[in-house]
Amino acid sequence: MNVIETENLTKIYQNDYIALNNMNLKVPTGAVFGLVGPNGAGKSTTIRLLLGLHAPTAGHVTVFGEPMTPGAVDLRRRIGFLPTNPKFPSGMNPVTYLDFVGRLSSIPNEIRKPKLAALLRAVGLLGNASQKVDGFSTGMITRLGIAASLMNDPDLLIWDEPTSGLDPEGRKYTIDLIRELGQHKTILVSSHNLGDIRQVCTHIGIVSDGQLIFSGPIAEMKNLTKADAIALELSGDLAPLVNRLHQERPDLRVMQRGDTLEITFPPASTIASELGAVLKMVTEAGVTLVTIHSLHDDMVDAFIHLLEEERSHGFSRLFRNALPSGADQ
Amino acid sequence: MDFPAFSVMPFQAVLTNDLRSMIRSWLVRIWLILIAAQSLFMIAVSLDEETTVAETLAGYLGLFPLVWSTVVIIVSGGAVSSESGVVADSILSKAITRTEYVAAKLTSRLIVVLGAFLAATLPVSYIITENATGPLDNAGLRWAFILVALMLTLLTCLSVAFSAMFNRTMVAIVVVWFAWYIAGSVTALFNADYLSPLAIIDNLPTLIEGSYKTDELLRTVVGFGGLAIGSMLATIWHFGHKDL
Repeated sequence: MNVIETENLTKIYQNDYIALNNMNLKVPTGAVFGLVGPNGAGKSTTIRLLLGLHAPTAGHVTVFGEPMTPGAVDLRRRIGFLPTNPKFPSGMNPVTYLDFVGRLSSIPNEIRKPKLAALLRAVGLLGNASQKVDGFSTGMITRLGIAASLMNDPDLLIWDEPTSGLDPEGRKYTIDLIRELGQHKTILVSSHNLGDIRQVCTHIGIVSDGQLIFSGPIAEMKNLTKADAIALELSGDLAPLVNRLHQERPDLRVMQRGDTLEITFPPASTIASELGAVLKMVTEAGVTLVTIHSLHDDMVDAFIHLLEEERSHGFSRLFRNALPSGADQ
Repeated sequence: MDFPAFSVMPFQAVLTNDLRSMIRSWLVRIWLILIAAQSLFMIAVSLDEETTVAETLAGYLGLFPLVWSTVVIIVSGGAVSSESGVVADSILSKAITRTEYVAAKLTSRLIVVLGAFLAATLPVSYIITENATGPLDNAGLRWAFILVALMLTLLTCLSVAFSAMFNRTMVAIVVVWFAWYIAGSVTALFNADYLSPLAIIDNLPTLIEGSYKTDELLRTVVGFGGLAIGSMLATIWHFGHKDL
């Protein structure tokens, strides 16, 4: 069963800006679904439509099998929403805000008060409980927003850019939390940075220019974008190493960018053994390995680009397929 | 129209939070101080034997729709629009209907406006009636209170309505302020003087003295009440369909 389903979901603002175009999104129960795309791609619009904050121009949204509307309070009671850079009503502190959120969800006092205390402790804001939210850092605001999204013990979490503006420590905290919560809840998390969330997602949807250009299990995505490419940041004289790689391993594609070597392995190669051989050469060349990382993210960008190209090339094919047989002759 | 079920706790949450923010508001605090000062002044005026009790009370009550209406518009005109940055993300994304939210905002502003009006005018009117001389009709005085309270109610409803309609508080305030002060001309145009705030204020002294026709007063009450209820229903409908 799918927790979220959209059918031909389209949103056009003021009759002049197409924010979302014919989106068919399915988020299975228990999935950690990453909605990925560049800024302005339509991720936040999608989320606002999923929450009933915006009305679709065309198409439908169903959540837990029921149509989502502005008045669908029973559905929203089962959703925990974390907006991008959350803002709170002025003059509140973490306790008053979480109490306010609990009351909005009609949580009785005897459950609400212990719950908010436990959540404040869990997100590390117990020491700031009486402090006005207005003076909070981005990290503290996000943590309070996370606590607020969990106040009603939701079955579905929708987090919009939860790592936005966070320092590395805050990012790690949020990613770890998504991983932990994903064991018990369905989560839809949006980000413009796939690297942030791909490690915790079971499914992924890529949005570009208001269209869902890929949606499926992350394993499928990884297969499609399998790069077998790495970047080695090195220190020392790289010229002998590069020459040796070109001479001894013509099957590798080696590109030098400053102190970084980008190496693409041949398809169907065993990356672990190939990488071992390259690292041995690095050691023998007397250069120091500073960092090593996969070029998977770059490949994802390339994948998006390729998919977009495919869509535009496929446009005429789409119409040819739609025409009755023999009509194009 | 689609009006979802009404839950008390979310309504109370927004209401109490809004009342707290009103109490913290410097505008409201200064307004209350000015009303208190004005009340003392009117008590002093009532001691002057040259003005009648009806004139003093009419002048005192009339200040609310005439002068304090600007403050009422400002206080109520930011009810929804001042929260436009947080209302979707932090409030209406939770389990509260838009109807509950707007109703709570309206109730809160009505409590502040009518609370300030009644808290000041009831005791002061009593003191003035005790001190001043001249003809006074208690039923007429009650009607005067009702009419002024209704005018303030309508003004609050309109301000909250425009606040929900526009995302900018200043636009809502200017539109309502303009509409309120040209209302006399508009009602005259439609031959509906009984809905003209200025005409009603002008008639307050004779009303307090006991010269009135009940059916005409009822027509005004129904007119103002209908406009207030109509504006709120329209607001709930519009806000319920708005992209937030």
